[in-house]
Amino acid sequence: MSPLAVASFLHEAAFRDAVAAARADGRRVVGCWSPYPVEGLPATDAPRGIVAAVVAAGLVMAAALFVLEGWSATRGYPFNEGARPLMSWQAFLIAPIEFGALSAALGGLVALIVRARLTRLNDPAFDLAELAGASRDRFVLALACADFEAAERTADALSRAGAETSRVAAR
Amino acid sequence: MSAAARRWLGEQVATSGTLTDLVCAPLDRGWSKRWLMALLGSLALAFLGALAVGYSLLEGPGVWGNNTAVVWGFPIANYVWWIGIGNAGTLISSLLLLTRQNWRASINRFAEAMTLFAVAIAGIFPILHLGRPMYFYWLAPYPNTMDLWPQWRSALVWDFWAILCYLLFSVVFFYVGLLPDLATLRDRETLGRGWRKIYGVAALGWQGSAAQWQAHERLHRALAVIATPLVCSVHSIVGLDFAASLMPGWTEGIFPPFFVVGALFSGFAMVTLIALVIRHALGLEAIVTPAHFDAMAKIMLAASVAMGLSYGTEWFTSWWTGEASDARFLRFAFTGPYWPFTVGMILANVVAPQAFWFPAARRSPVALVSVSLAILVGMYLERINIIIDTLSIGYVPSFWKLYAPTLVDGAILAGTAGLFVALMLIASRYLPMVSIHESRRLVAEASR
Amino acid sequence: MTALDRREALRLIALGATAALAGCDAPQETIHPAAHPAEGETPGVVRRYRTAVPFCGYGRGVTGLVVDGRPIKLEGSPGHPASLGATDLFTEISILDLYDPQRLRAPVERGVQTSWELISQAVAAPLARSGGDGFRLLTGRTTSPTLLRRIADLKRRFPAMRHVSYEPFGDDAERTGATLAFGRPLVMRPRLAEADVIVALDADPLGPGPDQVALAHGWSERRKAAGPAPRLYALEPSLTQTGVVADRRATLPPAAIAAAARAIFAGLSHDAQAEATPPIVADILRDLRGAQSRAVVLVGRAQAPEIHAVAAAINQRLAAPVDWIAPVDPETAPHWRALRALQEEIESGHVSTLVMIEVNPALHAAGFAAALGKVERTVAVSAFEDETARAARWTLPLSHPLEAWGDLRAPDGTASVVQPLIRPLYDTRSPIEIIDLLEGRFRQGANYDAVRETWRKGREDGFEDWWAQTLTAGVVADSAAAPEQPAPAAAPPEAPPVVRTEGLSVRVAPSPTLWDGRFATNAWAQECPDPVTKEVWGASLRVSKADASRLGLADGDLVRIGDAGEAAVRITRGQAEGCATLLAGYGRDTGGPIADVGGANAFALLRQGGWTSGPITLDRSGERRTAVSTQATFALEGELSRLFPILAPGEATPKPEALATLLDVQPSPAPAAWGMVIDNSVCIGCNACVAACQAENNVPAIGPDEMARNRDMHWLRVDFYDQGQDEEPAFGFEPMPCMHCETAPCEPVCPVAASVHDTQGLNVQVYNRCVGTRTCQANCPYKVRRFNFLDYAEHGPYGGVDQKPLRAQRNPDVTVRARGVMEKCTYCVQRISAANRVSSASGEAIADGAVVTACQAACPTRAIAFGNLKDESSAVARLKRDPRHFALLEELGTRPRTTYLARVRNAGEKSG
Repeated sequence: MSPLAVASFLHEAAFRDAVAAARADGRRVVGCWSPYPVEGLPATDAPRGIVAAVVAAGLVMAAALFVLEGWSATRGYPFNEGARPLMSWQAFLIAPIEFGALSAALGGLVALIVRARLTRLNDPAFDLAELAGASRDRFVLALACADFEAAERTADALSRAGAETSRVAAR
Repeated sequence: MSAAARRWLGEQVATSGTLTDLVCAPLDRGWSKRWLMALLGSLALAFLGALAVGYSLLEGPGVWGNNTAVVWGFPIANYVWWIGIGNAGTLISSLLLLTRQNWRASINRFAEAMTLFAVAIAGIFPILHLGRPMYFYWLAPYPNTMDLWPQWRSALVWDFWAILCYLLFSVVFFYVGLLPDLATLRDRETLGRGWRKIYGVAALGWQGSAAQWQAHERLHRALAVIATPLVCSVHSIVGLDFAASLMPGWTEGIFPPFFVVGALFSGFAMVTLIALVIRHALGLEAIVTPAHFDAMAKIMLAASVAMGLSYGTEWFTSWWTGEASDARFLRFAFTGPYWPFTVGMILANVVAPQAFWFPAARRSPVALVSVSLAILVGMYLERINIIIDTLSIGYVPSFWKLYAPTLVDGAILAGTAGLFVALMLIASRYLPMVSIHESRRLVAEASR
Repeated sequence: MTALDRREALRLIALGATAALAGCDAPQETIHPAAHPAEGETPGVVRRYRTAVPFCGYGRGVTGLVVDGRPIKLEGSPGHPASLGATDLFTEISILDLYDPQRLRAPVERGVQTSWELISQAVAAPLARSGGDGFRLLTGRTTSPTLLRRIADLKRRFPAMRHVSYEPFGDDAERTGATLAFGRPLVMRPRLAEADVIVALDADPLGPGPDQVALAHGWSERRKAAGPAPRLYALEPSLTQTGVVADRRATLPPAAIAAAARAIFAGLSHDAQAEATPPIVADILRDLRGAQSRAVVLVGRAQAPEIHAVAAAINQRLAAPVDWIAPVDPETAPHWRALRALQEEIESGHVSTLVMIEVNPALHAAGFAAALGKVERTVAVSAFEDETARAARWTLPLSHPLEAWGDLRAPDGTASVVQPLIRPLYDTRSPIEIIDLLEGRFRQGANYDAVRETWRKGREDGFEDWWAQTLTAGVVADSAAAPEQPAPAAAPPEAPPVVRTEGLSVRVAPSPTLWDGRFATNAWAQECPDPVTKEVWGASLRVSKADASRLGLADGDLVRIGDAGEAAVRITRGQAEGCATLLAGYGRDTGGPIADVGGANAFALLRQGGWTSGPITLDRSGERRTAVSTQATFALEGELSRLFPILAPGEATPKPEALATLLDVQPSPAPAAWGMVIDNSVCIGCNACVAACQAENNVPAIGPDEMARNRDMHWLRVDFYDQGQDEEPAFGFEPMPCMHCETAPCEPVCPVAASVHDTQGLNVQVYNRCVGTRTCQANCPYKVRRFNFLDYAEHGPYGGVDQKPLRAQRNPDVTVRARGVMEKCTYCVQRISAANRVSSASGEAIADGAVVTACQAACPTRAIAFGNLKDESSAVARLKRDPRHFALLEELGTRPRTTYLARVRNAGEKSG
């Protein structure tokens, strides 16, 4: 149970500097939370595969619908519709495009939920009171420290770096 | 950069905090008397529409003005009109996101809400207009004992997929964009506990961590990449409902892009109107600024020029083909009994927006309201003209019939307007009408 | 003493409905099917019986199609001279009368239901006591040998009784004219099949009437025959069907036509170039001289008897192809004179009992209804509530002709035995039974015995065989009247001084759909478009453009026309100046929800006799009323002439180059490829096909309100074209069923595959699959699809009357369409399917002519050919190779299976 040094910043610049400094010092950044995406923040576990999920879901489902169309029109129940070719592939392309777009969005949503670890309504991070400020205007940084002493030192350092509040929190 | 960003913000919003408070204020305040009156009024109108819909379902499509030649009428015009309005929200969110027009942050949320509601309302009509609406699901592919499948060559099947996918896609897009703001509401102590729990569940445990923001940004951008062609394809397909035929006045190659521009046009008119109302009613003058109206007016102006060009192209080709039926269609549009609609359409869609060449008009609420309303009416005239001009005078003169809507037609259209307003009113009290997290970035840029 | 009001009548009818349709049973006596006499009682099998139905007292042969004891459709009777296998509108709609929910179902005394026994006591008993003093029997024209025999019996029993018969649109002028010419009332029967030149002077031989089918058939035979192209002249004050199809037409007021007749006579007799006014007379004279014995002059009923005498003289001089026969009905007195005499007799109080069988003098003769108050006992025998029934003390319900035995003679005298196809649905009686009632007796089966007694005379040996043969054939062999050779006609009397009438007079013409108003209760008739104006559920006053501008009238202005009532004005082409036209049959104020559509009663204008009123003032009401019409009038433009090409004799339609297409239309492996060819040249716009389609295919009538909303349900419409100059317009008819396009534009747009092609080339609509998007109709260039905007099948225009009896008329082989479903012409797929079943059971191919569509069967001029295009020798395949062949909107590449032969107009050279 290593303690955490938690700091809340009012300004993005100070927050960004603090994060950079912490990383330069080789500290383990447990988490950094912000009210809007802050550029240049090194994510501890950069989520991958979101775009891949979007593309894959879109292509696979579009292809599936196209195959269903082609099969149903030529094999499943073929009939003469105004002498149009059974495999009117040009006309069959349209619905798959739409369906592919929807499937891509749904695939992306699922990937977001999985990759961004959503649906965890009771995550330990919520135990940090500062987190409530991160959804308003505060930038919150939590650093893992070896022991309480180190944590106190770190908290002080964060305070000097411009943090509005900083404290040590047990994990 | 910061100066550019400053343009889009009022003085009062200096920080993320003040911005958050400003946007959340209507939610904090709860119901106001004015809001309640507006809601009851619009619900009454919606109820009238519901009665008319109920009556139509009970008696059949015969209670409308449609006839054997003009088999389509108000319901299809309503559909095309509403889905066109729905266009703007998605375009603002996606196209402007891709082109990094960050001023969109102030308007995209309510524009997206508008899209959702407009598309949902539009989606009612293809079902309602059916002779046997209870069997609308036959347009969907599902295994059945008769081994029958939809007839995939039909533009109506394309339409079915387009509306369905567009609506659900818009829901996903809206929700993804809303997710961080739901977390804000969850953490907002001025709101009731019950509501905060609901927002909390809806926020799916959003923390605002760097990893979540990265994932969120990627998905949002990916969705925007898809949304832009999707919204164009949806309106192209609406155009194909008509263009994939052989009727004079419908077989126009220009229809798909023409419908996209028309949709953008009416959508921006509606966004402008809503922006004016919301800005005033929710006290968002600092976030939705004259600069926004200036930008939207310019888009409407550009779209109106494109509309004028499209009309001109359509009429020119009708004349240039030398096809008798096309020439007759053209003559009918301008000299037939519906000529006031044609003229009204030109005045409202092409002439009126020219006012926006003047900067003063682009910032005058009166001018903005008048022109936007004119565009909305003009676009309805265009929708109904497309239907009735062609169907009234087909190839065989013995079957030329005129169309006149009934009171039920009018009540249904009015009811959808009431429903739309009611939904917007409800949304304005329970969801932040401005994207808070995106605006925060704008504030940050401005203060940099 | 209160008269039965309409609401009360409806209530009574509804009461009677509880007793409705107790059962659909075959008559108790043996009736003889036309074919398959040995066939058993297989349920669902259509059985065909020959019989006849009356119109204007004359019989028209029909073949009744009976399914499970229900007659569901009437078709033509090939052996009958007034049918020749075809029908007319009035025959086709007759089946609806049988099941009409408005039918009277029980005897009524002043609005209160009574019984036949009480009627017998109240009417027959006093007659027996008084010996028939003051007893008058009023009927329409009566040709039935049995009914005439029974009336004669009645006369013997009541010597003081008098029988008066009258037909509102009869042939008074023609018979009086013949009397002037020959000294006796002969009837002229033209053989139009032999006529190269026909001159119709104010005559409408191809228009409605008891002889329409025979005349149109003869005319079309000559049209289709090889050899020099025939020519039809029409001189008329108002556009008629004959005028539409005429090769040359002149719009003239009635007096000018009379003058033209005299000019023709003078020109022919003096062989000199008479002063030819109007100029068309010179051309007529040239053609008559050229054709001689192959030319005929016809004069309409509205012209004076003297002009008929002139025409008789002309025809004799030409040795025209006409037969003169003695009148088929024995009543020789001019009908209108007889009716007026009766009215005077009533008004002078000399009539104590008046029995009126199937006539409506209260509508036709002004003041008749009021006069009825002076008669002690008035009995109206009628199938429907009408003005006369309302004014009479007793109203007795009449059986439908398909419910009772009887007999009828065709206009040429040919007799048919009328066999019933169903037992009376209600407690009704036939005219023969009414005679029984008047004699104070009644028993079951009286009709049958009476008819057999009539025909047994002189045929005692082998009568049963003769009876069976006659019923199977549908006609009594060799019963036609023998043509007479009258002595040369007397010189026609000199022209009476022409009375110049200032202002506007109104010509009264029979309605092509309601005739004299007797079909006004029939929803199919009301909804059948007028051939020329295409108006339904009412008729406007037709006024020429010149008169309209003189009187300051505009289309749709509601005017009061003398005493007749109000009608809307319709400015009509081909209308003579100074002469407006009003169709009879409207302005009825009683008769149930169908008949009561308002309008003007044209008969009220005819106080002075004849068919043209004196000067009439039109009072504008200030209101406007748009006539309900199935075809809007728009200015026709040049390029539209491609839709209705008109050729000179020998000319061919231009054959367009083959269209480039991306579609690869493969011939189907099926043995048949159905197709239809319609010959515009012989279409007379009679609407028989329209009504036949309606009866065959369960097409509902939707009523005036829905028609006003342009939701016409007829699967087949007859388009009227008008594309000439004002001087001499070029008109024509073009029937429009579904085109059954091979590359149908309606099919690929249907999202649920409800509109598909079958292997035999039919464009079929799957009703159960249809969700009602209406896209198919939106994309149909011919606009031949029909949509059930409301539940038309079960909620017809019958007001509060329970319309369940109509269900019995429905063809069990055709789906009754639900609300919200698209429908259209199927080429009578049920008939094709029946032939396919027979063919697959027997293994034999379907022979040409084995499948006959309902419209084709009805057509009196055989303008419609239908059959298998794969069979090179079939009639339809042959017509597809005709030089006059064309496809509608061919440039769209829809490859229609229904195609046309262009109209030929042999206008010839014009002199002057």
